[in-house]
Amino acid sequence: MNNQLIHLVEEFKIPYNDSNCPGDWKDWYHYILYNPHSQIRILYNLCFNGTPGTGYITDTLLITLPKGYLQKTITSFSEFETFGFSRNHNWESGNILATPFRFIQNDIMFSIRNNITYIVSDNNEVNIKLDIRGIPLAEPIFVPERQLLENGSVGWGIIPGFCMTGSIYIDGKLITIDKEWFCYHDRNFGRFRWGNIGYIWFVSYFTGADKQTWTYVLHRGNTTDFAKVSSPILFIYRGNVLAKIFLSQSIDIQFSWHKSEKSPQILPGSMASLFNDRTILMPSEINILAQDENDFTQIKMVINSFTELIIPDYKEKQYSFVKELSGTASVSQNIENENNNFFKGCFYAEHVH
Amino acid sequence: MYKEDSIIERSKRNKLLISLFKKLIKVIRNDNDYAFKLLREVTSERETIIELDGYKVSLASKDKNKYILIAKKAPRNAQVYFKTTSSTLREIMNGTMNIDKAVCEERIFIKAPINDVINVFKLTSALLAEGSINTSLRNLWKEFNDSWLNEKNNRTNYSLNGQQPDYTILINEIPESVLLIKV
Repeated sequence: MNNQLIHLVEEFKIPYNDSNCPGDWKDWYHYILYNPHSQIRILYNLCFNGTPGTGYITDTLLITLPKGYLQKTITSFSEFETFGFSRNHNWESGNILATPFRFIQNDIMFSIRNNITYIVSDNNEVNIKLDIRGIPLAEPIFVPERQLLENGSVGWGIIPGFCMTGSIYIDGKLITIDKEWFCYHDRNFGRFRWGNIGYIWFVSYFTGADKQTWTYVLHRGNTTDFAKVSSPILFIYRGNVLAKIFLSQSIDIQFSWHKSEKSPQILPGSMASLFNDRTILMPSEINILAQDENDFTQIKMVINSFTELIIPDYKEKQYSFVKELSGTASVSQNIENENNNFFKGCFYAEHVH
Repeated sequence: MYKEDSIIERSKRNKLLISLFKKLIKVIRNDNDYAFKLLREVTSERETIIELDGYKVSLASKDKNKYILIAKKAPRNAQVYFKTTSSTLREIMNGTMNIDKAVCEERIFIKAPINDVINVFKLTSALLAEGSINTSLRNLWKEFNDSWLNEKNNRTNYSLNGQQPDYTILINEIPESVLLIKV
């Protein structure tokens, strides 16, 4: 494991001790946990905005599980329900230490020490507590800075394989997170304003009949009106090692949509009420075809859970609408003359516009 | 109202609620001209009674020439114009129900002329829009959440899937002849 690269990815990027640090700095730690068997999926995101004293921290947790799972009355895996929260706290001074990284405030404890990540996030308002720890497994990729299409810049670092263990309590009911769970971790950091950015990102995970795991991570930026779309990139990992990168025009991304508009479930609660009369078309599938002279990969992702995060800008009345999508996936590919077809995969995606 | 509350406890609660209302008015006045204008429109030259968890607060501005809004304890038998509970407000802020659902399920009661209802809706929307990014409002919500009654309710399902209302009950109340009118 390349510790230097892990450090580059994980180090806290906001120059928060600088009195001139601009308020539009953002830095977040993002985790996806997915159990391919039970189909439970969890998103945890801890986002630092601005600087201590004047800035704020957003702590978001979404747990999607088969309907009836908590009551042990699952009848099918076709219906899912989502629990969670997204809350903003004032970022109080003195609660953060950059090296080794540690942040303790309110009901949140987050630290990374000797490559071990500890996360505790407790919200007794909705009776949910996350308590996990883990270590990186996959080769990190670090993209220090990319210019955004409309304003600002953002850096990206991914570790698409993490061994996480621990527990999550929903209304007193325990869900154990063990080594069977797939875990993805990434970081985003930079200076930009919400409301002015868009992107499609996903991670998809499969285990072949030979127990070989495959992980796919895609990112493509867009303006909110899709007038401009940036060059996409698709990373493919065999196990925990990067096996292939598709770039730019070698990648085709297609969405299928439900025919009628619906009201999505929204977080945070204030935004759920503010936008409660809004209906939107929801995507039903995402299809990826990536091919170059040597290889091809075709990924089909069927969406069975949809939650929207609405993030207001800190200065102006503009919003980012982050669609949190997840579901099942299948892959057909030929990478380095190795043919594979996977049918029982999972994915987690975000679509922002 | 919580029956077990003693007279002293009720007095403390009334004072706390009035204090919280005063802080809210101050934040609106200082931070948001649009919301303050709406607040003036719904409170000028009248007395409005708001009830939370059985505690009644009067918001009154009776001077025709000068807008001075006074928050004070309201008599027990005062007619209420807006009524809800802290658990409803918390559920709304937590996203387990939205405002529409709270109104549909009569967990928010509002009685006023239509223009005032519209302005109260606009004021509420302004506070919701501002709430997550305005430090003063965030602090005030935290103070309310930490200090005001936080009895665990009997809900067993915190799923976000129940966030939105089922309008069927309301629609069923409308006569078919009205529903068939083409606008």
